[in-house]
Amino acid sequence: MMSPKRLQLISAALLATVLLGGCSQQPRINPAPANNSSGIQDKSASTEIAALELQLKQASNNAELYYKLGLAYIVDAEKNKSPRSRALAIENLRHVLTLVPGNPATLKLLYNIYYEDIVAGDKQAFTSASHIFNQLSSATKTEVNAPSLAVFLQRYLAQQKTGNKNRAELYRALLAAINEQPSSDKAYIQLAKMYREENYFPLALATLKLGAEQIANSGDLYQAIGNTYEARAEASGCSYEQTAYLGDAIQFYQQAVPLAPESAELHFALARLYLDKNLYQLALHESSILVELEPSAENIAFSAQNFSMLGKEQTAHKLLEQAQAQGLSASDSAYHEIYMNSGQWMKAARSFTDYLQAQKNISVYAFIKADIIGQHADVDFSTLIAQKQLTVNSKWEGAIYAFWTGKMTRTQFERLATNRCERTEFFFYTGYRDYRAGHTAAAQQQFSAAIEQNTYRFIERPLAQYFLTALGR
Amino acid sequence: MSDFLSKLYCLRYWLALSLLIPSTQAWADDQKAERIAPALTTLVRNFKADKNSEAQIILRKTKVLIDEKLMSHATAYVAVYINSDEAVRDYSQISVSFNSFYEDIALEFANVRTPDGKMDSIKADATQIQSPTDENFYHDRKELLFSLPNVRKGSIIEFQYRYIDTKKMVPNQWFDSFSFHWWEDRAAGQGSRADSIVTSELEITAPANITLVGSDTSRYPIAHKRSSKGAQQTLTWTGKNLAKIELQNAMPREHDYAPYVRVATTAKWNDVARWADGLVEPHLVSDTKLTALIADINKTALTPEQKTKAVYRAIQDRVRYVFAHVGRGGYEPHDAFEVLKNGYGDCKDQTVLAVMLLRQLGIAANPALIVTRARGLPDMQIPGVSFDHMIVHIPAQQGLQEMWMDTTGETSLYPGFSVGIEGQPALIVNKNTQAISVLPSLAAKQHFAELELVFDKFSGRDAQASFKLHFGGLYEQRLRSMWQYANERDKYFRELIGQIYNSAEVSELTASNADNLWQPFTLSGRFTFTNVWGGKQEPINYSFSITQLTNLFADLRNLHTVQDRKQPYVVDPGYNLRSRIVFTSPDSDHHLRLKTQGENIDNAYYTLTQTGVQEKNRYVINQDLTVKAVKIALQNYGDFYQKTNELIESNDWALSYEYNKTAAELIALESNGKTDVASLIALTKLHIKNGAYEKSLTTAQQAVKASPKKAEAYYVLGLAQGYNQLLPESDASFKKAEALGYKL
Repeated sequence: MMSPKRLQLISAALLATVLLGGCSQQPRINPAPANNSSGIQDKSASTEIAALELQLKQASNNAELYYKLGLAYIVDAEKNKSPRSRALAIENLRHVLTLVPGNPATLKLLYNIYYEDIVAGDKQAFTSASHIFNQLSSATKTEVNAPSLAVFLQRYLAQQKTGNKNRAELYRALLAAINEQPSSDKAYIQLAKMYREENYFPLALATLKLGAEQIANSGDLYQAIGNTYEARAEASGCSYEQTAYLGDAIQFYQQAVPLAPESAELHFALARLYLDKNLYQLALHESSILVELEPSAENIAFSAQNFSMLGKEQTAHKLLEQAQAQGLSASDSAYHEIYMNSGQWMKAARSFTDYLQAQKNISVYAFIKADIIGQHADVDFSTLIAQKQLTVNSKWEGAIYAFWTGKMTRTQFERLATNRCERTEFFFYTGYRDYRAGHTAAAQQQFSAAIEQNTYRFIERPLAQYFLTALGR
Repeated sequence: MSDFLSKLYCLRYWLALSLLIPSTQAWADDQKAERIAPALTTLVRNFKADKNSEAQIILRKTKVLIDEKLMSHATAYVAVYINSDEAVRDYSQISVSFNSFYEDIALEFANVRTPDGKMDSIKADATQIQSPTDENFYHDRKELLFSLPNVRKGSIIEFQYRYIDTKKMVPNQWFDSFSFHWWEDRAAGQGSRADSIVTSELEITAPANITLVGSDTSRYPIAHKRSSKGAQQTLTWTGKNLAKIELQNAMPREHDYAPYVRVATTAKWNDVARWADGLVEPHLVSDTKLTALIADINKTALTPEQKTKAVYRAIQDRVRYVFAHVGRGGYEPHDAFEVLKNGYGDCKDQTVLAVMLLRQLGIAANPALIVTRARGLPDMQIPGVSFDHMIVHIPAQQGLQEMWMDTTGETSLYPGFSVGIEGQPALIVNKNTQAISVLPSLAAKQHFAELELVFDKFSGRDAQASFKLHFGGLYEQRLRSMWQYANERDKYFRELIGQIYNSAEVSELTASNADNLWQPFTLSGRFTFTNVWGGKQEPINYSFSITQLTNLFADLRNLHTVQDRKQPYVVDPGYNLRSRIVFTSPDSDHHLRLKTQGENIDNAYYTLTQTGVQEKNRYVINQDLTVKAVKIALQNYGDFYQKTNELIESNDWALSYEYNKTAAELIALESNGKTDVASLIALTKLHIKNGAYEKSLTTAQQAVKASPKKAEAYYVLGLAQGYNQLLPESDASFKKAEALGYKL
């Protein structure tokens, strides 16, 4: 019963790395060469074009006028979706290069146009873009993406649209992008992400480390390595079985911090991992940095949950109030989980009702929570639960549900619990059954066994502790 | 004999004329002159000025009277409305060209009507006959020159002159050609102008029993009438409202842009050929010296080809091209032996000597009269005598292909066939000739300039490149000629060749074969580039564009804009520019980075093929641009202009050799021949860094084979397999690496 925020955050960050990077290639209208005072934004594009063409009749070798004319045509092309204006923009900008060969602003602008054309599927544009890209200075190259990244993006979007997956084609594009621009981390990160999606974690890690050898100052690369180690630990089925990977992840996140000291995301990850490693002081410290850097309702609630899991109820409740004041949604799971940990069942029932009402589908864990909270608060959630679609995400979740609904024996359930994560849940849910049946000794034994699994961020751990306390231990 | 063409073109080879006529009257008594035009006041009354024109010809009228002896008496009248300062300048002095050997000319009157309606007449001392100053030859072309008083904007000038045949050029025949425009020389030698014309009339009156044939004028807005009265026939041609003609460079050689008519008493070229043959044949005579020369050639030259070459050499060695034949009627040469004896001669003299030698050596040959390109391409349907050059025609025969030999060039490449006569009309001088021939045109590939450039020397921060320029066709002729005649030749050519690389100095320059009749002229030397390389670990940047050739060997940057172009555009002949450039790496640690590549172009006007090949420590580009021989109609000029700009602005080749630590290490590893696992692992990593993934797989596999227990070998194998899309194999290799203790 882990927090669902976790994996969502990791994948969103990685996907954005390249796709948004590609989108950032939109031609920028602002960067003119020297003396850019065209005032294009103040006039209509066609008026500007006519005025510039008139001026060019008087000064046919004025590069700046051609540059401005190129810009005006870009504005016109975008406004009117005019391929002809786009072609004229290119023609004028290319002419600038004949007058002032190598002009950085013109090269960059022209490159951005060709980059867009590649993404739009223009096959000829790649050659043109490559020609220009090769002429860019090293400094300018860091401000743009490699031409093959545009190819990747184009193919990626096309595959998304048609549903025809061809990952090899995407790999090739990314490897080409690495070759074109070895000093950029984007292609390394996206390539590793794709390998990771296919569960090729070692290749993903080796790729990212290769990138880190080339680019020593990329916080994104170190963060991606940390993410990958985390995901690798997760992929084994239970990250607490692979704590060495969690340690590796911490190490790379730490390397990323000095390169991106304002990144709340890094401290969020470190807080989670320190908790996983039972380094709770460090975890709480990272939580506080997270809140300091980004005092959002969600981050404060995260911090509150950490305190709650460590049994620091007062601090947890105080933070939860802060989060609420910051606008934390009433349906956030933090409310009922914190109230459950502290045995405030009526509050838990109310917030769980809010939570349930906001859900379209519910997990096996929510289904079980409804029973536990309902039993302790004497509230019947069955009507509300019946309105929701139950989602079972794994075989193990199926086993939990089967046991909880009496379709599987305790022995059968035990046989399926193969790692510490699953065993935590096995011991807790069977212990809870014992607890409800009044088998106190058995319940105490099972709750204690759940705690001994050292799955520090599982909600079953503070709940087991609560019931043990209730049982007088 | 008025010949409007002579006002248009600068004649290099004006054929011999003779006998300066001291009695030529520049000024005829106005009292005796009979106006052939209405009174100026009448003309002015009916004339509506065009505010937008610089000048307008109100009336151009020519009356020709041919008598029974086929001698002509002509009167020409011109009235011009002046409406700009430029026209004032151009029309203040009028010149009329004529051939003083065959005709006499006199101005009958010249008046100016000022804007306020006053009339002023030419002063008695403001007219003269003079030889043109633009040629060094002794010849009989003269100009009637007169200056008009008080020409101002708004003035109208009028003048009338008469010209009378004094001798027959071709007995029993009469030929002439007339332009319906008035061609006026611009001031300061800036070409000619032909303003719009309200009415242009030509009237030829001749005895009715004389045959008169004229060229077809139906393609022009010219009305033609033929009438007869008693024993006289009258032919008239009248043009109304003829547009101004704007002369521009690269116009078609055909004279179609200007309405004109040729008139003759015969339609048969054979009549002209027989006449010319009659002038030449009597001069094919020898003396002992000439006979000895023939004997000498016969001793050493055995084949027909050897004989023609020997004749060419003999004339090049012994007879200088000099024109000094005043008073010979233009078409009659000296005796062949006399030319050899004098050691000089003009084109017809040299031709007669060459024909004489060739025939005596057993090779059929004839003189050929040519209209050179300098005279454009007249309509040759109607016979005439407007040739301006003579060369040798050798018909195809045993041991020889047909050949046109021109000995008049200054040590020109055998057989002296030049672009100046390419594709032009020729009349082979032989009594059997019935028609005009056309001289062959060379293919574009034969008019070529070829640059070989090799960057071959690095010294400190400087680099050097050796170059060699080969030429063919028009480039060979022009560059050879420039070398022979240029003042401060070395300096001139260094500056010229320096245009290929403005940033470089031509530090060495050598010409070859400048005086060789058999081998093409070539130039070679070195460029020195100063401060172009920072040294050992710095990159060296190279670039080359086809425009570096076109800027020197073509003129593509100075085209009229589309709106300024008024005439069709002609590329003739086509030509070919090619290059082979070798960019060399300064050392083996520098590696190629190709930044941009030249594009290939193929359209109606240009074919540009460019290739680049990476070779060991160097990159070689080859460029081949053919500028096609084309005639571009005015409506297609915009397309040509655009395509030309695309060519000029097409991508250049830009590359650099950059110091590459990875590549340097790679080469070191590859070349050391070591096959130990550490070297193979290092090599694999370097291949991956360079994106050589296939190679990385090979070396990684070798590493694993060399040391099957080496964890890192499996690690690099995992990487190499992954990047070669062998993903499950990659995963297995990484697992093996971890199993062997690799920390991943």
